[in-house]
Amino acid sequence: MTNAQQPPYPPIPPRPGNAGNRTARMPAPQTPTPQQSYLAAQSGQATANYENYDPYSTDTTQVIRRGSALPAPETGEPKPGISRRSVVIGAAAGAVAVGAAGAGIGFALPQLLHHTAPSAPLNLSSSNEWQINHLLRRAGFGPSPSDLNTYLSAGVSGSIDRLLNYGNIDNSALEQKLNALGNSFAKVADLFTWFLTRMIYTARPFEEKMTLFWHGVLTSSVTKLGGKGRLGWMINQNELLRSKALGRFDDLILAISTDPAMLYWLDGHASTGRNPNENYARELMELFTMGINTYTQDDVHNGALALTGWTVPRGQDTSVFIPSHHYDGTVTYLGETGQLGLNDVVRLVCSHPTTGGHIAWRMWNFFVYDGVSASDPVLKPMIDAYYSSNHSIAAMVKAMFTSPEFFSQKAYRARVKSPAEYVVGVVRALGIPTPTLALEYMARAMASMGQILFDPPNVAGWVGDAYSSNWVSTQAWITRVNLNNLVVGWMTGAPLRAYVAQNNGKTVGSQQVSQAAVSASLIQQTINAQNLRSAQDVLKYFTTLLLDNQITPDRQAQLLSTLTNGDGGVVDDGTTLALVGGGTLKTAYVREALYLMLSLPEYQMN
Amino acid sequence: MPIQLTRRAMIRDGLLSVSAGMIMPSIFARAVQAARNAAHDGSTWAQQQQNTILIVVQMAGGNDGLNTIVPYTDSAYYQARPTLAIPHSQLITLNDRIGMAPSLKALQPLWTAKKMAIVEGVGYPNPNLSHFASMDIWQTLDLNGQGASGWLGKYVAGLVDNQGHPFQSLAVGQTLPMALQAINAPVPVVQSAQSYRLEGDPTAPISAAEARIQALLKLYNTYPQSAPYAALLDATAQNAVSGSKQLAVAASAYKPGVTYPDTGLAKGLQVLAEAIVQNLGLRVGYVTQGGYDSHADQEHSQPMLLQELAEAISAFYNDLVAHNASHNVVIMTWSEFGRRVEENASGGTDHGTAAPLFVFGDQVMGGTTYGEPADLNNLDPYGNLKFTTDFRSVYATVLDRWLGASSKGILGGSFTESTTGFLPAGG
Repeated sequence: MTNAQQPPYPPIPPRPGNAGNRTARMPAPQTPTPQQSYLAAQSGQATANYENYDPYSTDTTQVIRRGSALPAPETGEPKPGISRRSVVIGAAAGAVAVGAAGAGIGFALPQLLHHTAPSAPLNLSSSNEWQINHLLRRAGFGPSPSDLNTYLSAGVSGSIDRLLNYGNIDNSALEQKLNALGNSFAKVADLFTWFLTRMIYTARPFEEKMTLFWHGVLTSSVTKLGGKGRLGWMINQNELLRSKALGRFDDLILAISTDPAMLYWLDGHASTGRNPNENYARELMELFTMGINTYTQDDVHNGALALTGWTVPRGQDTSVFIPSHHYDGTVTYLGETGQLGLNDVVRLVCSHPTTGGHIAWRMWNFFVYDGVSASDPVLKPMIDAYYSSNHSIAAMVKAMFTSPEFFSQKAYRARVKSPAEYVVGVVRALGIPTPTLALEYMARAMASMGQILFDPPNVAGWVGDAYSSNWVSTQAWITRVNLNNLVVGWMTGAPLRAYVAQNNGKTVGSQQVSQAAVSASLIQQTINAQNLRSAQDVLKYFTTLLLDNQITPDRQAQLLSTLTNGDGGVVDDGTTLALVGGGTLKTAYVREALYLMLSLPEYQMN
Repeated sequence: MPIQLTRRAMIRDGLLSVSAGMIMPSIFARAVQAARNAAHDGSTWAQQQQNTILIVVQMAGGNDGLNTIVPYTDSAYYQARPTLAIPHSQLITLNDRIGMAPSLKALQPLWTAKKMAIVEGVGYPNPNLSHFASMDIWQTLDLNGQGASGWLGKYVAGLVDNQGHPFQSLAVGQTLPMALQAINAPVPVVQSAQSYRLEGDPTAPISAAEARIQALLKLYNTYPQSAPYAALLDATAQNAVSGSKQLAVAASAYKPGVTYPDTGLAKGLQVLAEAIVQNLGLRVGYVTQGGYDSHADQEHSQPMLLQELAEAISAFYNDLVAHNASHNVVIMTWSEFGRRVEENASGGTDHGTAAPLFVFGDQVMGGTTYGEPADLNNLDPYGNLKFTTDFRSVYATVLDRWLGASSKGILGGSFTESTTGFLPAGG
């Protein structure tokens, strides 16, 4: 099946006489505001009713629990529930934690008064935008409006090149964001906000996507670092995965084998020649390289012996080799006999005949579609690329993205979005501002969707990475649509309105709170910047950005009807959004239509 | 084009879920509709005729059985565990052969009241020392690791429920465990009652919420059924909508009869207690406690986990008693394997094989052990225990004697219950 160039659904026809007549119109620049002053001024008062809003209960006095698997953002230390447990495997506290990521809502409103300016108008009538969007979702976290313009201009193969050869793309804007974040990594939440910031603001989406991929394969967890003050090890490991993401697989495996977080996660730090610990030796073969049923228990034991000697001295953050801890006798490992050490183990596992297939299988299920096995013929080009390129990861990845199957109907919307793909994708597409509290909220929401960064459920990583149906659950679905509710509220100024009503005229930080801030809501700025002149234009813009223009006519009709007439789920509160050219749309109806678009089954898929 | 796929691949690929109309029995579609209709008026549910409930607690990571139920008269235990062995003086003595780890103290009243049974030596032939292969075997029953649906999923899928209870089965957490994977039954996953609420538009009145939900569900109903996971998404959305309504009603009516410990496991069991006490039609509840993979420093990690386990189960049981709701509940634990008899140099133990498991409940014939203890002096070539009780015999007992099911159909064969008779036959 290679109907590669056929869009799955008929595209929405461009509105005659309008599509080609767009000019960039940038909104007036906003004065940047010091984040800290807004944080200090944050008030939950204005949103108390909203925070406790429960459509099914008249009891609005319930207190939302903030306890969760994640550390409370206010505290400087990891919660005991995380730091004390010594988790290697199993869903642990995360699986049963009581959290309220989907329920809390009233954070950081003042920060949201000022938005990132939307970008130049989109090309809404390109014929290959579904392919570009598909590529950007798989090789990254979906398009921002400016991404879409950039990659549409580059074309499909130009986009693949641009995404994969990211080394020369300037990423200084991200570096500035990270500097502004100023994380000290003294608390677990710092890890989440750091990685989320990278994924949201990077100009090299594939770099972050590959890092996330390796994080789910070559796992380690913040829950088993062997002591306090070592949270930074997870960042160091993340940077290791990033820097070696596309290089020679042997280099990646060599580096991760002596990475301090990994030495603690799989107990290598305490493994000595006299008393080897089998944990890393087993998972290195079963999960990281060759795959299950390719080795014997003797290989596990002897591999453990060969790997001994590496540890992290007390008080240090880097690993060292201690010869007296290393087993210097002769072992037989994967058919080779001798005085073997780390380099031999890495060489043998990376050149093993099943390793290429195992890694290709992990990649294909993560990046293309679920359900292939390591022996599926679709993987052959990737496996060939691995062995013929001296184990180049970049060569494998290139073979994957240029496979006709990658742009096939079978691959289109074939994987359920992971929590990271979902949350980061929403923020990138809509340009939602991300003060620290918002990032921490997003991390909590991701936990309720089944993914805690830096804390995979076990050494095999997230099941959903390989079988994306595992990302579907009733709890995850509720959390997703509740996040949508929150996001469309931000975009249309709904919670802001209550805040502004209470604080009108006050000075918060360096900004005076005023009604003008509401009318400058993100959705209004988008309408202005994108030159949207009708309900059809608004629909077209968002279905292009969010849904690749691939949505059946009956569903388009339902969304258009919601935009213009509502659907009963919202009530017209008298506020409107100004269309370019003079018309208006009711804010509540636009909010509802956006909520539905983000909540569509189509949007749950990647 | 016809493709040969294993059932596992089909489920995971969603091919079995491509068409709700084709795959889902009509009874299920009607059930979902009935649930939706009934949920509108916020009513709670009368239980069905068969109302026994099974609660499964997964101890993920491979719990060290030897330091859980200690064979204190066996010198081989002390020889193999020079630093990790628990001295007899610290144990809670259960009989003239075994004692319980002191960290399980909270379970002692249940043992004394004969509401706690121990099944010894539980495992399976040709043990797999991989966490994931072994977990799959325990959950899907396929010793080759090719299983598709879970044993509990098969049971739940076979339940005929004209009223469409959304909470016939319920997993606590964020993602569905393999044991509850079912082809044609959506199994809800709940993190907490608080997080399981659908929020309405910020400025709309509560009365508008239903219209939004109907608009949303319409978009799920009309999603092209040929799309991957279309039926899964549709069933999930419908189950979540009806379930969130019921759970909100139940949560506001339920008052815990005890103070639960502030641990993840206890809070998870509390969600299940809420569903039981409020008669939401629960038949199978599932909760996971992780962290048992004690390759190192087991002396500190395992007692903490066992204490959390014991206190959580004790609180859960006592809460049910306080609500007069304990008589039809059985709780069982499992872990994918026990651990190596000989301790390692990291103060831990490596992956092993057979181990004991626990069963609790008013109808459990407790205060005693079932099955033969594994022999510490007759190990396999890797220093692991040889199993004496097939885990499928434990399942058979639970299915036949408690859940009113045919274990033969679900397990794909007959497994003797002669040494696992911890529930009354014909019950």
